[in-house]
Amino acid sequence: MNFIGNYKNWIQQSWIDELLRSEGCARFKEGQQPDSPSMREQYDRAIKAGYDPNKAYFYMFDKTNVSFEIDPPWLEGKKYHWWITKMLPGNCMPIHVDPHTIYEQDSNRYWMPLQDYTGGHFFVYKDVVFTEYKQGDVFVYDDSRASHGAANVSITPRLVLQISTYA
Amino acid sequence: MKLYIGKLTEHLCESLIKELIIHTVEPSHGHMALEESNPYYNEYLNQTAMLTSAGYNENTVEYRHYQSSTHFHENYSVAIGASVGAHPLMCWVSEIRPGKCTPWHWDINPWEKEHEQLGELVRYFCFLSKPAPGHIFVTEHDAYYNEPQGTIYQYDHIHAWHAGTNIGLVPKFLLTFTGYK
Repeated sequence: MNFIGNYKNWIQQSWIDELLRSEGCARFKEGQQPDSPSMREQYDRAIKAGYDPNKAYFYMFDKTNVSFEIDPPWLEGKKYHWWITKMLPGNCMPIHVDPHTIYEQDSNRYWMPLQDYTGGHFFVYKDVVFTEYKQGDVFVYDDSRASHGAANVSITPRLVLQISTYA
Repeated sequence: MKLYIGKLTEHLCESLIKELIIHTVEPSHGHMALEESNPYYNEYLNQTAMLTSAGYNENTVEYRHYQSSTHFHENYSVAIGASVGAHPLMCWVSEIRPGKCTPWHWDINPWEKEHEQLGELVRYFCFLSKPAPGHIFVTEHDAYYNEPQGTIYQYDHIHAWHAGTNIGLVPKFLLTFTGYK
């Protein structure tokens, strides 16, 4: 992951308040099945390893369920889509590869924590676990198809903005 | 700052794991319950309340403890004690299966007051299983990932906060050794 810069001043406290107040969309939703072959393969592997298919791994927000707009200043002129993940204490997302990066052309993945690092907020990318980051730090994956995962074993929710650009 | 102490051989780690996995151990979902008369009873209540109010429950917190002398031969803890220069008091292996975690806590030793009469108490952790994607361990100041099998570190104090999780596909085994010098 390459550090792009810090955009803390761009983040609005009202966003954080709304995200913490709202439930978001549980992923996986009850009964939801993977919607692509690559996701199916990863899903099956995780279930076989013991992950609970009925558990919420995280809660997702996007333009359909928040009241604010996300227009990242470091992406001027690029096409992108975004989503915010909220992980409650005890949530985790197994190591995986994002399926959309496989079919999208020239995909670039950006990762921005909406809070300072706190012990137990984990993000794993390739063979590194990220700590000591600051709110508003922006990183770009050096390989958008790299494996990554996340977990929250702290006592506070964890909020991260994810962005994917495409051609 | 990580306090690196040394390394057990991979052969020893694998032998120990082989001894463990023949046992069926019931999962634990929180701290061992303490008697009200225990000096750490309030700490036990505080940590339990902290995790409950954060939303943890039996579906998220889950680990299995394998105890020296019960689930693996005490010779292992004697060997580890010799390698770190401490007399063994307690030694266990924690298994965390995929999708489970042990959230932020410090290890309450119900017998700590008695143990500290013996000398300076010290605690170490050792990455018993081979490094695998998704096996994460964190202490107050440091994160550990992809640690070589057998690597031993010392907690900077015996009440150090720590947590672990497994977002990989295979079980994770971490050994904890408490002793005195």
